[in-house]
Amino acid sequence: MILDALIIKALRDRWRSLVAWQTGLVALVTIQMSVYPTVRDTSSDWEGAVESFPEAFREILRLEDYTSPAGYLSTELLSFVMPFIFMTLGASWGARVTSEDEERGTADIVFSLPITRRGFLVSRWLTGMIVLTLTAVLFAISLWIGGELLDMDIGVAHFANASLMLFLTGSVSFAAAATVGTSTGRRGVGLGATMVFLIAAFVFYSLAPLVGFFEAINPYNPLQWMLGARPLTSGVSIGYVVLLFALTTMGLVVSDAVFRRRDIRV
Amino acid sequence: MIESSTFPVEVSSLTKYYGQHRGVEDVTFHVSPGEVLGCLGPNGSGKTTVLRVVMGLIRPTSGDVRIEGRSISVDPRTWRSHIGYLPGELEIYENMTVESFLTFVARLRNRDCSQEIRRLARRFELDTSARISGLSKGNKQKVGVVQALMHRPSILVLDEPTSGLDPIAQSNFAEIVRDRRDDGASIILSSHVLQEVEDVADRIVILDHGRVLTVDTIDNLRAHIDTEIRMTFDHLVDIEPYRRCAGVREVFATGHDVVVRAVPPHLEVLRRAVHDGVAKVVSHEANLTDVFIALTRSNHDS
Repeated sequence: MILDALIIKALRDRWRSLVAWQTGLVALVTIQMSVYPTVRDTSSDWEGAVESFPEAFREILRLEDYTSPAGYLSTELLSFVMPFIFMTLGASWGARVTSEDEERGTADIVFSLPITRRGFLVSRWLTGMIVLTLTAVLFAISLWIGGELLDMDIGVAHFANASLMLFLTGSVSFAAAATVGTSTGRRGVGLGATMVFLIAAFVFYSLAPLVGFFEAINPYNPLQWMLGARPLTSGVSIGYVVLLFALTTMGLVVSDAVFRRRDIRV
Repeated sequence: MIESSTFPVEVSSLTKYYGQHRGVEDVTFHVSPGEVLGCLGPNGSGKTTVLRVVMGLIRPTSGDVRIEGRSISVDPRTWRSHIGYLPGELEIYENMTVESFLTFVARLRNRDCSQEIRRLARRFELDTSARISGLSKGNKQKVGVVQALMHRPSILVLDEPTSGLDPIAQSNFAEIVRDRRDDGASIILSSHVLQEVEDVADRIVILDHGRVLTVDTIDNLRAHIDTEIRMTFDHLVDIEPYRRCAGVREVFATGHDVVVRAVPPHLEVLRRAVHDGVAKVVSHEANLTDVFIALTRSNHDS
């Protein structure tokens, strides 16, 4: 009952922002998918154009099989745009897990109530996971509807795989931002540190095909775990899924350990 | 004699450092059932730090806080369920109405407080349908007071509770505090309004620079502070006998007036004055403000 109240309040407080994110996501999917018939109808031109790109450029953008439905969606939506949206969404909800109340000054009242810090933390994590799940499900539904309308012939399971990977991408960002935000009590630090880390990881991941050192460390790069699989064609890597779940869970454990031992900021 | 473990609130050798900066050091006091403990001190003396440690919001560097005999580090959900807390710098969710905020707090307390909310809102003339963002500072403070009181807690921790309240609301508040005390609640009340503390507190703890200067009843504190007695005679009197009276610290004369500064009781001085045929006596008895100023000044001097 107490968890319900906290989760409902957190969702209610930000429902406008949530609706805006979801609307933006659906709009983006719609726009990208609406372009696909043109790509398909002019596939030979596109293939020629892609072939003419420098090898390095093709590798950085992972431009494989661009004109097929799965290849097109992978490049246009899953290689950067959607992961970035999920990372930002996750980090923005994660960074405020406890620091929002601390910065607003409402934490003194909240933590004087019969709620444990762990209970509060868990409620905020559940809220974040609900938001990411809703967004991922909406993404899958949008893809599926678009796929049906455009006769893309991609199975529902593949869309579900793509959504699962995006959910995990968001949840790792959430975990990272929540861990930093909860440890410092500062939302800006949580969000900033997470985005800097993810952008750096993204640069390493993108340049891995070209730079030997980045290639060598790529198996340890969370961005490889998030984006390395090709969910629309080859499914998900169970190993990466487990790693991403483990990373998220570790974030919760560390946040809990730190938050229970520190002072609530005024 | 009450066992120490049965005090509803017991603070023992509490020390809190923020990095190198001392918040409070070696603070010890307790609050008995049915007692109001006034917490006084100049700005930055550590009052809020002590109250935030008591509420488990910040962790002590050393020392212990026990609520109803149990350390606050043990099972905070249980002890917090019978504490009401009003923070010094009150912030409430601005996007809610008064009613939805109070209902939310009641849900987190897992209690139905609707009756008490209605009763307190009526008493403070608080419009529960109003949006919190649109409330004045005083009305927001009333919301804070209601959320602290609405579950009828057995322990109240109130930091600057009347800040921003109008005189009627202040008077209502003092009345409620007395009622709750009479019902057996233990109350810690920190305030800059010394008159308010003097009106409701049974004992006072005075903090300065993070240390406890004294913990005592107001009467006992007063007993250590000089009272100024100005006596007017129809004739000149010898002031030497007054110097020898018990409790007298200072005597001087200006014409037919004799001024005596002495700690109570002043019976001997007054008997002497009657003997000398005093025509008029004006006495300024020390109030809490005098006590507070005298104690903090002597601490600064030392």
